[in-house]
Amino acid sequence: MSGRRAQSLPAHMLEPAKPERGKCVAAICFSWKVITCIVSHVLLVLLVVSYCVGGAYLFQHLERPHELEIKRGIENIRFNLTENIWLLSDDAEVLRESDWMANVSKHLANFEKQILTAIKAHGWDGNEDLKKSQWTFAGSLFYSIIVITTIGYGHISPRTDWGKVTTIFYAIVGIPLMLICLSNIGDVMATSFRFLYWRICCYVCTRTAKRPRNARSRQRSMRSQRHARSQPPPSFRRSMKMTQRSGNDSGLGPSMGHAYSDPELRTMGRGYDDREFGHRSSGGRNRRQQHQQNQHHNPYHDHRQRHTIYGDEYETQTLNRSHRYSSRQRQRDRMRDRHTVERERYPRSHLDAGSIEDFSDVPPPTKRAHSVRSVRSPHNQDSSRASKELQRLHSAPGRSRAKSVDPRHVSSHYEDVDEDVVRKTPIIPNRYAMDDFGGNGHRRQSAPRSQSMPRSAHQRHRQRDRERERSPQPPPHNSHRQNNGRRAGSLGRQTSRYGNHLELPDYDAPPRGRDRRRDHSGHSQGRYDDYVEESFDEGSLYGEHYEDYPPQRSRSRSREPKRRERRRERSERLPPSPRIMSPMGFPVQRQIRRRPSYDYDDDDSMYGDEYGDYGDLLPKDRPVPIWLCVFLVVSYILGGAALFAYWESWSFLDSAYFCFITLTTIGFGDFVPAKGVKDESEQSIAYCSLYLLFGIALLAMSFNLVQEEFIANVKEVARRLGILKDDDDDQDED
Amino acid sequence: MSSRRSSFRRKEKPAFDRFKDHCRHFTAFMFSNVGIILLVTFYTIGGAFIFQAIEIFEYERLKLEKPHRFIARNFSGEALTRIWDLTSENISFFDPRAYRRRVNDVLLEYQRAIVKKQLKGPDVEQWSFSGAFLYSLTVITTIGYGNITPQSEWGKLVTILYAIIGMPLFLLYLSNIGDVLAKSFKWIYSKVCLCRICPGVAKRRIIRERRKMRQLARALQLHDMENARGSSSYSSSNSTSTSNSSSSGDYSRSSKHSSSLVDVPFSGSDSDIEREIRGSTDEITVPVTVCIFVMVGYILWGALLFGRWEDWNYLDGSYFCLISLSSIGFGDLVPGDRVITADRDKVEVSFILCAVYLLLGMAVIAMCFNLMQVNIKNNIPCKKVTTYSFTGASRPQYSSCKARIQGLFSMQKLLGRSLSYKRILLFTVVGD
Repeated sequence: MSGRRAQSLPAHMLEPAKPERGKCVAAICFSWKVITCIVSHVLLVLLVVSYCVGGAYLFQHLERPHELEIKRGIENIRFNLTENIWLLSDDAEVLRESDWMANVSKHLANFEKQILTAIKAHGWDGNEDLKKSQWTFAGSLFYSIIVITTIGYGHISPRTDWGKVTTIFYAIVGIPLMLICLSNIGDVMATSFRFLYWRICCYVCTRTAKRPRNARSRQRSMRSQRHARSQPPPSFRRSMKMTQRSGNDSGLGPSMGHAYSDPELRTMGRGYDDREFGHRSSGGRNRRQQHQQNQHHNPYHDHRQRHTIYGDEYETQTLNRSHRYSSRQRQRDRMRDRHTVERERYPRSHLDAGSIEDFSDVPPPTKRAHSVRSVRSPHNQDSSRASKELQRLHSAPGRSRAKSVDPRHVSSHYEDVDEDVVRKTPIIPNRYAMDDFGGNGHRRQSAPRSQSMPRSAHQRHRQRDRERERSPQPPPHNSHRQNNGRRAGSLGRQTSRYGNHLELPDYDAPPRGRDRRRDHSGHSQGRYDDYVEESFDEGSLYGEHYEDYPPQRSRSRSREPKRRERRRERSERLPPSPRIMSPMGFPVQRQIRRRPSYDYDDDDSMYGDEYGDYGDLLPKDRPVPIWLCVFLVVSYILGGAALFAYWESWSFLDSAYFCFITLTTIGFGDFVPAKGVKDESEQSIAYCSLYLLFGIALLAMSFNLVQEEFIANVKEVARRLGILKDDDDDQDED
Repeated sequence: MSSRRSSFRRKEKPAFDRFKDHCRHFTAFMFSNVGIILLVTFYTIGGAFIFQAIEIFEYERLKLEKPHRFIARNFSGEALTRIWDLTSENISFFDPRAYRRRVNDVLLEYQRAIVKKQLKGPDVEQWSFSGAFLYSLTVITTIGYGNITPQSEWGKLVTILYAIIGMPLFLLYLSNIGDVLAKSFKWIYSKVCLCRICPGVAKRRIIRERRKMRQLARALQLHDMENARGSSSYSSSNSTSTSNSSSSGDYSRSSKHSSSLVDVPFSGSDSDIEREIRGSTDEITVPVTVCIFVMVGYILWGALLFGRWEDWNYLDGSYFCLISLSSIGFGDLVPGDRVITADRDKVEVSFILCAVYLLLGMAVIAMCFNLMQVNIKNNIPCKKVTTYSFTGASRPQYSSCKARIQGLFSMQKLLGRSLSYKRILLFTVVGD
């Protein structure tokens, strides 16, 4: 699975990313990113530092006089005792040892008690030197850090009432502040660490892992070369991106079809082969090669495609697809591939059989129109009409077809779209087409159609399955809608449709899971899976649920008002083929999703569950193995242990113990730096503070990195153990 | 898939599988709400025994190896004899100043001896059972008072391992118990504070709220109609009430209610109200102020308790409670650790009391965070917040919650993510 998913990586990476984004814009974006980052993080760190310094001054001011007072008090106590003893000895007429001893021992006991009180209750450190204070500036600073990191060694603690009150409020404000800062630093470190890990450390291993994929990509590039001869150059991945970014302006129209169909083909072929034969890759490759040949064999299609609707990618796509269609049909007998398999698995109904027969002897687009028609309304099987439509289609602008693909779009413009829709739909071999022709084949009947859908759902599902596999139609409306400012909406819809589609009753469970996984290689597969399975039966709710998924998040929020309406439609209409949709769907989502901010690490959770399939993910999204983080933390502790053993001349075990106790913020305080033999307490306090800050940030980082993965693992373990039922996963993940 | 496999296996070897099932049930129980308390308690008690055994054993061993170190020197006696010697020497008191200086030196030595003994650390005497219990508790709660610390190397190693296992366990305890407490607190809150116990008041309140909602929804509808005119058609009027065309906080906050309002007929029949009164308490959000009040109240209650028990004043008591519950744990004030530890029984009891207070208090704090988080989640004026149905599985909820958070660097993030360091698991659990 990972191989399959990862396959798309090379092309993705080899292509110069985002060619149409101007350098200027990129520079601005980058600088904005940098500025935001600097402002947020540096400001936060500065805030924390200044908070600590302020706390240091405050506590020094509050506690130092008290400490000096205590020290003087000790001296006084001793002086008093001396005086007492002197008086005792002096006053006594006769020095009797027993009496004197009894008296003096009483005094001594009292003295001891006073000293103990001074130590315990007043925090006297046993040093009488008035110049040496615990509450120097450095000591107070250390104290502030210790408080807000909740370590709390307790080697110095406030002894005055005001000190205690101040500490309470200082902690209440400071702890959240510190945590924000730490998590921020942790995020930054996590991002950079991830980047380092995947870009630098694992460059070699990712390369080796990609070898099979590289073969594939080579093949693809070969194909693209050939296309360059026969056709405008199709650069698959890039064109995909372009569709998302700047639909019509890209000028790469003709390549679109390939852009979509390529991943689509791959996924389809692979999926089925995987399932049925177990040697998917060869099969998929085979088919694609044959495809290429067929494209050469079909100059007619290419030609027509080029000059009738040059510059209009939608039409191009359609034709491209249709031609592929025909080619595939020609090969159908030769190739025992998924088509056949699929057909065997799902024995077709009478209607389907008829439509397929049609396929074999009518020119491709017409055929398709036929089949579509036959699906929905068998009485309407009129080949002459279909051919008429085909002719009209050739002369018509392709945009309207795109509209027809998108019912939502049409819903707002349906008055003027009808005609085009009628014309175009024949070549749309997917569910929308069929939906559009439901009833009378008019767009206007959207409501009745959607109502009638559930009734004939089963049959159409079946039909759709075959349609889908036969017609790798990319969703061309994406780029188009982008121009209308609706792209984002369409994305969400695709996903939802997709979710719907996956629940087709015809499918067996395992294939469904596979398909879903593959198609969703860009988003959170595991969760989708769970979710879709859960909501299997509530068909009308799909749209609603899916609304909550990443596509929605990635959508820009200015389109909110439409969403409700869209959702409604979505829940009523069955989606077009998900396999078609998703290959282009996820890059869009990801591009939108990745906003220039560090605050989006929440998103990583979406990716965390299946780290086997991060072939398509940006380096930011890829999880880092747990062992690495653990290793990092352990080595940090051990390194700190070595350093502290050197600085403080502790034993190594003591230092390691100290580091652990410190970094887990237990903070017993039995080992505290700057209490050792050396005199330069400031220096060791500085060392310790730095060590603390980085250590805790490192811990936060590793938590950040492995969090989702770790939770998933623990959940898995818990499920194995039976701790976790599937319902209450959220209750216990430790 | 695993379940299928296991069921398959069940046919093959039923005995083993039954045993496995029993084990599973047991572990499931142990990780359930009741079990986790037992688990934490037993873990702490076990830790107490282990630490006690280790420390005492190591102490004995060390005593055997280096007995000279452990001869309890009678510092006061030594000082006494030395002063007596001085006095008897200087019987004629020729030089009172010199005598005083010498006595002072002796006393200084004595004082240093006392300080050294005191600061050297707690001796093995403190490793009573309750002391060890408190020690293990402070380890797994990461409070770490430090009034008792392991002196032996093995003690330190075992402490590290113990903490590695114990801290996640305690976090699990916190999340579980915090959840339970939050639920029960919600229930109590709904029954008591919202007066759901007496139906009349509740009914009136609900009717009043609904009226307000209706007005709001109507305004919303109007607004949306104006907005939507000409742009697109609505398939039904329902959609208008929840389409968030505006980003204002009012709308988003009201949208959830308005959507529920759409479901519920405007007339608000009695049965509906009844149902809502009896309905689950999950939807209730407890205000943040109440949560904060609960926390402060708990701390003050602890101050009162410890003030009576330990003769601390209120400031010391609340300082101790806050320092403990925020897991700072200075250890300058520790129950039972008074200057004169007169009777050992009282010390033991106060240790146990402190442990119970801590266990409960941590859970209460977790509960309050839980409630506050829910509250904040629901109150964030984010556009897409509450419109969408929460009927789905937890995952969509989770992601939707996350989605909501995305746009704004919100309090939610503050709570959920930035506390991630210490309470990371707790809060990811809560965030779920």
